[in-house]
Amino acid sequence: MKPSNPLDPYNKYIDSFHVNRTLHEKLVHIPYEIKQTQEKRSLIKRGYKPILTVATCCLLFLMLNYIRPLLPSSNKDSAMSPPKEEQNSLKPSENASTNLDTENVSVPPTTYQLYLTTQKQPNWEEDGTRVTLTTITENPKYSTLLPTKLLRELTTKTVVQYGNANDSNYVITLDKKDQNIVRLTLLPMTQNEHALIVSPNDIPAYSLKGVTVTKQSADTLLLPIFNRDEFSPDIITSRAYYDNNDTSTVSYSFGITDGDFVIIYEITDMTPDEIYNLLNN
Amino acid sequence: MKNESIRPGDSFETLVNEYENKLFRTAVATLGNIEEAEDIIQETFIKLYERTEPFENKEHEKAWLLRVTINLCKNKLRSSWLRKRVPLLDIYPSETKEEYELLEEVMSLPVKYRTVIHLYYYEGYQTKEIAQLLGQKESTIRSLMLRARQKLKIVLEESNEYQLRKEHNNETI
Repeated sequence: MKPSNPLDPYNKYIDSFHVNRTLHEKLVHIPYEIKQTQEKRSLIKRGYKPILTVATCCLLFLMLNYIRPLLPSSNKDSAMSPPKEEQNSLKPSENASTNLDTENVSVPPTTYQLYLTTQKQPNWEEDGTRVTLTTITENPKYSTLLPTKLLRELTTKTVVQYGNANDSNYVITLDKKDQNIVRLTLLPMTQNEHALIVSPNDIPAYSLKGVTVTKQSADTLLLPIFNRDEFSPDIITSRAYYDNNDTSTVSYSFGITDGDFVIIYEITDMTPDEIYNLLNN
Repeated sequence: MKNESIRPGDSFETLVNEYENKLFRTAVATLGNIEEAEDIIQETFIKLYERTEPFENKEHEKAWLLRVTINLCKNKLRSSWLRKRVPLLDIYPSETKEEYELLEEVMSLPVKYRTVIHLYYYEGYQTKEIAQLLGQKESTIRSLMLRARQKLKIVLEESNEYQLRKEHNNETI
């Protein structure tokens, strides 16, 4: 302070101000306070992480267990769709014809859903000993319930005979190893048609488009399938039946097509007229 | 200690002891409010603690602290709430009427004048140093000093006259 300072009173006045004890303590403890604040922040950060993780897990748990079942199913059919290996498809071809099997086959009473579609060409995998038919279902509307477990088993068994995929008449015969023989016939159909023949005489109970087919005698076996409620006449656009030239075992089949696929079922012990009448009555 | 700016051998507490009153007085002189000044001092020392660059020397350290204090005071004064608070102090401790008038006059000066007056007359800085401290041109500081002195002229003259009269009376006795 200068001795001749004209503002000595001011200096004297300012000199009278001192930091009080409380403030001094606060100032001295600033480093400690800052460190403590930083620790609290890091604790909060560290605390949030497990809390968020637990919350996320809880949400996922709720989603999986409570919310998801409440959500409307986007595609009921797709939810029931089988694994790809079960989605067998058949070779498209031109003229409907059948190779009928008249032997008795014991089919396991297990039903699986099989989709038949012509949206995509079936995939054929041949390794000389087996044929695997797979396809991708794009139109689950046209689905039918067939004992596909049987089909799957067959396709993984020895292939007795199979034709060339380029042939117009393409026949694959698959033998089961046991005494029961099932022949699956791929019918030559149009490009937009697939055909499948399952020709057991003894078809177990299964359902087709909601219609339950009970185990019945051969001549009445397919009646429920052609229930008018399920297959209205307008979708039964073509029918084919023929004698397989085996007079001893006369078998007939006919197809139902709605433009997307054809299902051909075999009806044995019926004359063409009987079948025709059956379909038109 | 985290702060690298603190000189080796100096603890934070040492610096607090050394500068707390000086900075507090500067804040009081600038703000004219003790509570606000206390807040400013705390903020200043927090900034000191958080500073990572070392000071060049003791003078640099002191100048930095003063500048931070004054800047924080200016920021505080920008708030409309504090701007309306005049006069700064109600009662000034003074022995004579002249002293009181001087204090009242100084403390009622606008902040920009009061700051340079404080730095010049109390802290003993030269105008060049004040210019560096406040980040302004020296001519600006000189101009501010001139105007501040003019405002204080009457009070100072009266104070001088009183002083002269007092000295004269003492000599007579």
